[in-house]
Amino acid sequence: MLNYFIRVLFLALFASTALAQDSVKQVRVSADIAKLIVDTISANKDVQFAVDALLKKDTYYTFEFGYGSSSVDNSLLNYSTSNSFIKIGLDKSLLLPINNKDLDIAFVGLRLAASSINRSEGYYKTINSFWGSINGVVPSASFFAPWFELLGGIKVDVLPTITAGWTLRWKFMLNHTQFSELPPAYIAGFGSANSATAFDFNFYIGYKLFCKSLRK
Amino acid sequence: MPPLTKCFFYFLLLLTFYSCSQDTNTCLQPIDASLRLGSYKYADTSHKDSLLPNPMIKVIGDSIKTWVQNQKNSSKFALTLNPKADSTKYMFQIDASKVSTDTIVFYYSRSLHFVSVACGYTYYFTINKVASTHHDLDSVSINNFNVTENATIEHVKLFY
Repeated sequence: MLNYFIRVLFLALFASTALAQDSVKQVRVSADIAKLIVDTISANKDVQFAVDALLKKDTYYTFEFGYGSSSVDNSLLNYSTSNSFIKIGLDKSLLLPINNKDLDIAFVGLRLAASSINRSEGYYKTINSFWGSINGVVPSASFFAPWFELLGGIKVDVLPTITAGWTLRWKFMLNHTQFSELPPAYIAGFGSANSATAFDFNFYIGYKLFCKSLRK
Repeated sequence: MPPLTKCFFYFLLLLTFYSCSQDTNTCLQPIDASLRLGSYKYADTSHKDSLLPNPMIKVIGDSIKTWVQNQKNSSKFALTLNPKADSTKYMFQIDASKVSTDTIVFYYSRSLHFVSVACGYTYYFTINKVASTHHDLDSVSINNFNVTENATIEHVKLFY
């Protein structure tokens, strides 16, 4: 997993260098710190990163990636899942810049996303007050889950090279019926797998790899 | 502070509400699939409900347990099927004060059904056959073969 992220990070850095042309105004890497905080108290782990590039004056092209895991451990079920995901898309700013250095935006956007999910064997127990209990095992399984997201949010500069922003997302899974049988308790990047739709909130802290005046 | 920045910090309040997630580890729904019976008597070209005066129903497994008792003038019953076997036997008395008893055996196939992460699995049944004695009972018919958690379906009709 560490190799995976090192490769992605290098790819992002390489891409940011390659994109450092006149048409590229800003490249930024971000991490969702809200998820990182929730991870410390939740059985569901969700680590999310984002790289975005401002290619035109009001359009950000984005690449997001991450990984996570979840587990179910109650009196009736015991199993765990892990997954990694990627998302590509763009954000469109709704505000006109006040000046050439104004990169604060309110935006709407779209993401196409996909995740590879692995579920362990599931140990179940059924309980009947008269007939007693039955224990069994459901075989492990792998899933491929594509979905798309509609989103909106705000990104602002809090320091010259540090940005922060929140994003609200409505997510729509395309083949949710595959989860009718023992679904993952949680899919990193998507949310609860109980429903084909999910609502999510991200809070990003970002670092600008480079930034140019909008007028250049 | 610019309006956008102000809006940004106001919205951080959402983070507080976001942390209040729903508890998905508590099962709040009935998951046992019960076999539902109705008692009837023939009336000319159709049939109508037949209230049993003082029914007693016993389920016979490794032990015998009284399943229905003191439900005077009842015609609707919910029974349990053994998820460890392909048949379940019941003893029926239409009046507990009398000795006359009928035995009914339900034959079925079982299928494991996932309910939810909180509730786990349960068993659904497909009734294949019902066999019975005919001391008080006239006949038995299967009205619906599929026994699920749906509590509105009557699966078997007993005719007295």
